[in-house]
Amino acid sequence: MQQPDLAQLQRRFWRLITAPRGVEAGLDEIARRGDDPDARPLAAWLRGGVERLDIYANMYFYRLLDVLREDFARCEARVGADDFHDLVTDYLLAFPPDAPSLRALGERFADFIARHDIAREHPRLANLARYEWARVEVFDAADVATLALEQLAALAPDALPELPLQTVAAARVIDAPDGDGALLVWRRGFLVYERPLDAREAQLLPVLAQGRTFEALCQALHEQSGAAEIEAVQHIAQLVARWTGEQLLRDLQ
Amino acid sequence: MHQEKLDLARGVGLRREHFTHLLEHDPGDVAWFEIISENFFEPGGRPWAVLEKLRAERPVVMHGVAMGVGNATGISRDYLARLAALIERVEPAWISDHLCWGGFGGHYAHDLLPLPYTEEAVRHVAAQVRLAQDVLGRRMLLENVSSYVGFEISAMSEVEFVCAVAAEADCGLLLDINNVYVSAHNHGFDAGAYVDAIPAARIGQIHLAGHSDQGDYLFDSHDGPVIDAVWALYRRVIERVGAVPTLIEWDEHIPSYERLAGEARAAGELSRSACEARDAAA
Ligand SMILES: [Fe+2]
Repeated sequence: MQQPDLAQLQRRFWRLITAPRGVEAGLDEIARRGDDPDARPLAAWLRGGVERLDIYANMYFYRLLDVLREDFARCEARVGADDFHDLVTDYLLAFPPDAPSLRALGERFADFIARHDIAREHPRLANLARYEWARVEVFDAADVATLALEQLAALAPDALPELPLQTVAAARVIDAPDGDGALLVWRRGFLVYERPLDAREAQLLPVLAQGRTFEALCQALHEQSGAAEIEAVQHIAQLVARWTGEQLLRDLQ
Repeated sequence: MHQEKLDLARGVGLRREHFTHLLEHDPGDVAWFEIISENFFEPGGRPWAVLEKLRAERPVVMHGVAMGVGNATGISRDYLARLAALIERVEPAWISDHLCWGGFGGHYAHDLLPLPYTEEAVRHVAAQVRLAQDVLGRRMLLENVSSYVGFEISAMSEVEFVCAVAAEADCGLLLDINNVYVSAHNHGFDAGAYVDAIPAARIGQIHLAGHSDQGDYLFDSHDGPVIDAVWALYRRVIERVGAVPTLIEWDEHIPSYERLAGEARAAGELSRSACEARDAAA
């Protein structure tokens, strides 16, 4: 038997510690498929044996499970610990971690749930996962200076139409995890807040992720709702005051 | 200068369990902090507020867990770019990562996996470390890891491997004394001889931590205080090489900040007394 080089050794090691049902089952699978004839006997290349390799397999899985349990605590509570464990097993097989930070691990979890069998029994689980992920994302999104009510009050009336409006980096509009309608999730200071949105705000706020002038936003509302222009201006002015108070808008001056 | 070096024995790892305390209080007896680099890859919020406050109060160093200097598929260039950006923002006193591999084919184990101790691995790892040092424009420290398996193809001891990589890469070493103790037990080598064999000039930092006894092996759990045998090895190192920046790692069952700072004070006192013994002997 030839000595494995570094890449061969790591490929084998990786396959075994990420095997979904443990190292022993992973070895059987490799033997069955016959695509790595040197993988068995383990003793020929490893000092320590299956139990010691299982330490690494367990660390791999349980560290990742712990991260997802924390990021998706409500999903776990909804489906129960056993089903969540199985769901994570399937997820990690489909999407092994591909980012250097554990914080990114749950990035595809909601989309994965939406396509998984579990969605048949729990049709709103993907929504709940999207909600929990939004909270994770806004928690450490970039800090930006926010527009203050005093700045708004000090604005000359003819400067209002050109006022640039853009939501902060730490804001997401998502479907409410339970019930209907949309939910705003955002961070103020260090704390994550949320509140339901009415249909109008739910349409307008996502547009502001890219930024619009006050005038363009009035125009958008006018086109969306057919509101008279003067009404649209009044309505947007009220919303902008509210969003400013909620520290939802960037200071772009 | 002497006093400053002794203070450097009182470092701790920054953990989010202490964020609230550190936002509201002075860091106290803790002389410096180590952050896990990857925990600051996201740009804002509370973690950065804490880090910015600490940065103004104490030196900060960056300790990575995902560079993968031993990955057969090589260090990710994207990772190095993100690390370089973080270095620019944090301005750490120095940076470190682990002498291990951590993933395959673009995937991350988020774990510190053991390398075979072969000439091939020495050459490969040293070339990767040199590449990282070139890209980052600074020297780095490599940390010895705890391990639970070895490889039949290993052609040298762990400490020979560590020293060979450091010499060929011309990097510093972060000597984790608890890891030496854990691996010595798990593989049956002499921890004292291991720490004695590390060249003094390469030791840029020391880690101390707790571990757990799993019956037929020791596990590097960082879940409790440093045990006496590890303190004894620490004293042995300091008596030989003099004061070294030393840091307590505690990652599970994390105690109050005060308790952790107490552990750092204990390291500082032990370092002081070992240095006095060293001076008296000289
Ligand atoms: Fe360490």
